[in-house]
Amino acid sequence: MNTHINSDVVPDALIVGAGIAGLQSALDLADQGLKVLLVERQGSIGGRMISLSKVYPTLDCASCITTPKMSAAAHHPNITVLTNTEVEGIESAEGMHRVRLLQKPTYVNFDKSIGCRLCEYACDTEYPDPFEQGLGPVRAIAVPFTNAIPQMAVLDAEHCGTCGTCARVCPTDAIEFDQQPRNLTIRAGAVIVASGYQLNVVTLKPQYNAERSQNIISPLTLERLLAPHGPYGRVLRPSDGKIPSSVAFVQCAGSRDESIGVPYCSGVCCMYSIKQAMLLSGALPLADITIYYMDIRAFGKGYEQFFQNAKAMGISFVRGKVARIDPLEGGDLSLHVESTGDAENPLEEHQHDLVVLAQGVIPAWSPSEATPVACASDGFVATPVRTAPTVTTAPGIFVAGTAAGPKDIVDTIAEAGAAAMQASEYLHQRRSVVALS
Amino acid sequence: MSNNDGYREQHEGEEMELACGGPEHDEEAQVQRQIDAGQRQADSARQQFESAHQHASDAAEPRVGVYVCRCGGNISDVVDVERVAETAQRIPGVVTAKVHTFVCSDPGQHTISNDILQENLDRVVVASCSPFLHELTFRGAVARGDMNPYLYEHVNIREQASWAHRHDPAGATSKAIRLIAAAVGKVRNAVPLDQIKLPNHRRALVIGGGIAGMKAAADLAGRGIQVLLVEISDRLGGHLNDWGQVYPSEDSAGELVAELTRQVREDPSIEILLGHKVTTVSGFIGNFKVLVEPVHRTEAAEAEVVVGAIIMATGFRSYVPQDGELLYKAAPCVLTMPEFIQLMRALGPQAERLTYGDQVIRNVAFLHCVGSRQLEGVHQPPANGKLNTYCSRTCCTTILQQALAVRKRFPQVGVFDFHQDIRTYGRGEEDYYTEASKAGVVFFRHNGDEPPRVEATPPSRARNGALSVTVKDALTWGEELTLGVDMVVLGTGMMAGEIANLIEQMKLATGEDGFLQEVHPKLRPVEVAVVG
Repeated sequence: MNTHINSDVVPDALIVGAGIAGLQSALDLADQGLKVLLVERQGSIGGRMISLSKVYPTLDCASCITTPKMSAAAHHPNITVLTNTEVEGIESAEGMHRVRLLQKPTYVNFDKSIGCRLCEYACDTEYPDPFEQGLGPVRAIAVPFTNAIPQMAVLDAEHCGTCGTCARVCPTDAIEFDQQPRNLTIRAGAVIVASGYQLNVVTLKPQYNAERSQNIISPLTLERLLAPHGPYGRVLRPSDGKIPSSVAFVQCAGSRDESIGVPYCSGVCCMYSIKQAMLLSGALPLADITIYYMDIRAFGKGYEQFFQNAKAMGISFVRGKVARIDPLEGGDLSLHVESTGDAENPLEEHQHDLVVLAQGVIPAWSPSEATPVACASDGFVATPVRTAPTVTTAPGIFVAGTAAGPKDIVDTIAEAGAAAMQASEYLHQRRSVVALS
Repeated sequence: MSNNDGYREQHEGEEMELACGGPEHDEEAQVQRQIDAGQRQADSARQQFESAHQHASDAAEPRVGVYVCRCGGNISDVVDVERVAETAQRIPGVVTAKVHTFVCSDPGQHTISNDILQENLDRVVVASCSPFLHELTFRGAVARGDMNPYLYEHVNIREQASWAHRHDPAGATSKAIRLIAAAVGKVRNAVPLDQIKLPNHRRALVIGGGIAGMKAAADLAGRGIQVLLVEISDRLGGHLNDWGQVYPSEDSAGELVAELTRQVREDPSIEILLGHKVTTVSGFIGNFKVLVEPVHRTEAAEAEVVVGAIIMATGFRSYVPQDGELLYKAAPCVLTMPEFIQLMRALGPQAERLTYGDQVIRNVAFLHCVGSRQLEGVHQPPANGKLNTYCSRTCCTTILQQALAVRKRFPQVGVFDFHQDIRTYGRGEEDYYTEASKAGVVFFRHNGDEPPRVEATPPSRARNGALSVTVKDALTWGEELTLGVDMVVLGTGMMAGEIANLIEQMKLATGEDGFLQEVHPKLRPVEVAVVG
């Protein structure tokens, strides 16, 4: 895998973000013979998708279907991957884009490292693993996760105790404590922004009291709990390791709410909650599972049938807005629900021992500050051309996936293909112009 | 064949032990029998192969590597993968047998290509998921180890063992062993193959001149590829021609069509055939032979064209309610959504009142999910006899857009909305819901199995309208409400286009819902199983 580049190299296309959108765009362009530079700020490519358990509505294991894309991109002769690298800014002139990159220090020389992980095994400093949403420990120097690409250990300076053990055990002298951030400017013919999403914080709504209970969790945390190779290997609630017997999903906990600045629908929560509920009922056959919702938005292909299956499996769907969550003694939670279930008693109270908040999808990166790409009022990249939804306000810069608004994996992949086509078209026409002049 | 001899000896030794055997030995023997059975199958295949190909078998004994995948638990939660690998190690020809959490991951693939070089492997077997998902992945890994990728054999022990026999771990394990034994036998007899290159035609056929087909044609042409765009009707633009404004931008549909039409018409790389249909398709990727003929037969004969790739952009048809369904065609003021949009467009921006024929409409009811999200025992299936169980995903926002338009243009008209869920999920769509609520649209909500009823009101009681909609409203905790209205608009959904001939010609797969089936609904959503 090519992980090195210097400023002389001029890729046809530079892609910001190596999640599923960036990977798909990169592969589509590279398969057309175009040279691609794939830039990722994390230590591994794969994005959010690689950390999921299974995906709806096929219930494919996410690892199983993401790794081939990761591997294909990593081994593609036309793709260069730069991890641990952030985009600082883009300046465009005469159809070319100068992309300013910042390569963050990993304190491991990737040229020398052979990926043996001896440093990781020797390190005795641990901190909560960000890949496992903080549920398990990770060493201060470690390969980001099992199937990470590249399989290179990265040292986390914030948690490193600077004891020097890793340097002593390294057989190739790859540890470099004096690494500095490196600035790099790349000229690229086209750019695709595939910078993805993040979830708004679990403590966003004070009435849900998430800061007072470990058992009010984010859906990404539940993804890790459900993953077969997750932190515990099974579903346990965080506060005391109890096997949950009653799990609640609170929909629209960070979307469709003007009071928190996210008036729009996040588009994916209904479906992933239904999927998680299904996986939970497989993992915990005795548990009661309830989804509190306003509308079930199962709109995609096969989604409605998936929803009907979930109902048939005995997952209960309660139409009602959760007004407040109170942590109780012992770790359980009391949900106050305004429901349409019972006319006599519209304000219901239910107890659960684990609560999952369907948080809102917000952009992971705002390119408008340092690039010519404008964002719309919702914060996502603006796509002003109605007949070309991957075209941004900046000529030659395109957008794919959740950087242009919440969407599921299917739509992300279709859109990533469209962005690659649009970029390829742009490059093709630019070349024709250059050839003519 | 020293390997084989050793195996036979061991095998015989175990049979002897079996005579005094406990259950453990019994199981061992069973495993051996499974290996034997796999071997016999493979051997007979080998004989057939040899007689057919006169294959010289004097080459050195193949060295096989076997890789068993845990699939992160998908396999190893049921199948005892460690035991599978141990047993595989004893199959003749197997040099190394290893277990990996995700063989498909980069470290897993690296192990394979590394072993090929280190252990001099010349055959590889991976036991993991379906070959559909990963056969190509592992051929790639094998090729990176400088081995011919066709000396690779894929075994599916996930779908065929761990998933199929979830409740029988021992059985699943022995099945996995047997499948691997057969694959090893097969791969030992495999011969290296070389890929050949065939010329292909840099020309694409796009079937359907709606918005999707035009956009595809324009993009292909922009990339320097010749395009033949075939449209069955006599105009480009498809359904968009019949619509007013599109959500969420409120751009004029007509202008969108005009813009794309101009683009495809002006492009010299695009040839457009209106009023034509594709009747016959043969050939394969790079070289499809396609017969195109005019819909109305004149002297113009059919034409044969050769294309390298085909894009199906054949679109949908609107659900048309059956006569009498929700009083459609039984009462004058029950309209489908396309009919209502036509009405709104025909009225023009100057109209001061919402009228239909001579009748002034004072209030309208919009019904969601007509012809979508149908349930067994609740809804009548459409003419094809199959329930439309899916969500059509555009009707909710279309209804809210039209409801809002009615309130804005004709503030005196009351608008009632009957839904199960409001699915305004896309970017900018939730605003329609918010705006419609603010604009005074009144919402009623029902359960999926209790859809609203539409009835004609007896003239004596028709003060509030000739029609009535009755619903068990969840927002008032199940109260049954009846509203008199002048007009009912049915939020009709989409159905698959009628392209049976093309499906037959190209051997395409369709899903339960009648729409084309993609290769992988998640990862390859725009490709069909027929390559090209």
